[in-house]
Amino acid sequence: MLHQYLQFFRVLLAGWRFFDRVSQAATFFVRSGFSDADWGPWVECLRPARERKIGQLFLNARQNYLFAARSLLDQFADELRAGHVDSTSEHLVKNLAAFEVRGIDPAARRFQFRYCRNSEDVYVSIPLEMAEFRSRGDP
Amino acid sequence: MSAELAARIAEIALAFAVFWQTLELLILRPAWDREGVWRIQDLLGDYDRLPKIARAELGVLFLPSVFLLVLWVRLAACVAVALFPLNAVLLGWIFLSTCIIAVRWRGTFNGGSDSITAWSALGLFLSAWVKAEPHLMKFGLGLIAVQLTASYFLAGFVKARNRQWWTGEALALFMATPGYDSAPERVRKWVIQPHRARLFSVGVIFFELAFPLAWRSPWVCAALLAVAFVFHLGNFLVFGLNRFVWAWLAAYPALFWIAST
Repeated sequence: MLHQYLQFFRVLLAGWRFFDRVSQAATFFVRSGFSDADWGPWVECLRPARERKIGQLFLNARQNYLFAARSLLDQFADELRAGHVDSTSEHLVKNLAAFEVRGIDPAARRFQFRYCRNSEDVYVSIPLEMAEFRSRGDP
Repeated sequence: MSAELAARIAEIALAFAVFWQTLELLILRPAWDREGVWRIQDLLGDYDRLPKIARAELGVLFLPSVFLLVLWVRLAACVAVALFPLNAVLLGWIFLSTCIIAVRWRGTFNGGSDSITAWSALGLFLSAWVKAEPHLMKFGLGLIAVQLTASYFLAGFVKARNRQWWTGEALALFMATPGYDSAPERVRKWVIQPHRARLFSVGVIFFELAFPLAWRSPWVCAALLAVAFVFHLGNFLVFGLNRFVWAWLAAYPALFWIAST
């Protein structure tokens, strides 16, 4: 309960601890397909473009999306390590995978994702149906 | 420089920073819309244990159409700040909408830049609210100056406790960490040269730990703020942290005014 209320004030409870923890290299892969028999290759997602343009100093939406997605994955990894994955985190990570798959293969009907640290699998999802991640309207 | 002038410069800088932040969120609409990553249906799970009425209100506030309206009004408020100096309603809305965005992303969307934006907006809102009482304005500006100083000093303190930062190893490791590995190849190669990485890292630690000296005089303050701005430009070049440049810049006038008085 306290955790839920703290979330409302987290933005004002900054610890100002930047780059304090050198984390292990975490990578996120997705693969898509039509059925169990025809999976495509694993594709690494959330890769930034290695470039800088002066305009990005003002508008860098893609990079900031990547930071937010990485932050979500870090939270998911912390929860996995603690042995208690919050259902919201799990849903959001599945959404993230579906969102990335849609960008890579818009015609995909199924997908699967993998989260790895130092090239070792930390989490491998079961095959998921793309249809489950289509809009169902507002709650 | 008067407190009012410092607050005016700070609010224009804040509006500039928040304008670009908001535009980025509008561009990222597919990522938070009905088929996006941070879709409302799944976020509602976070509020299961809140009172029913609070849960219902957040559910409405975070509907894509309502959240879109929040962003557009926030963008309009940024423009309006240029026309209406120290308006408590505009600054209050910038603060509130920063908090709404942070909650929608389960704490913050962009970490520290959201936090310094929220503190600057809160400090300026308080200053605008009591602008008829100049001595009370000090409180709002002081709040920003304290957070700004803490942001550098504490960041330096945690780095100083990590041996890998003193050797330059941490900088090279962060630059290779997925997500932060966005530097152009020639920049990366140039920075991670061991002697250079060490020089930059030690320089950053000393600069961050020395930051509280900015309170001592306007000259020291101006010098440290100039270094800080270059430091943020470097962070943009190396890590792509563009929001940090403008969000921190908006807090500088408050500290400079404190140092001048």
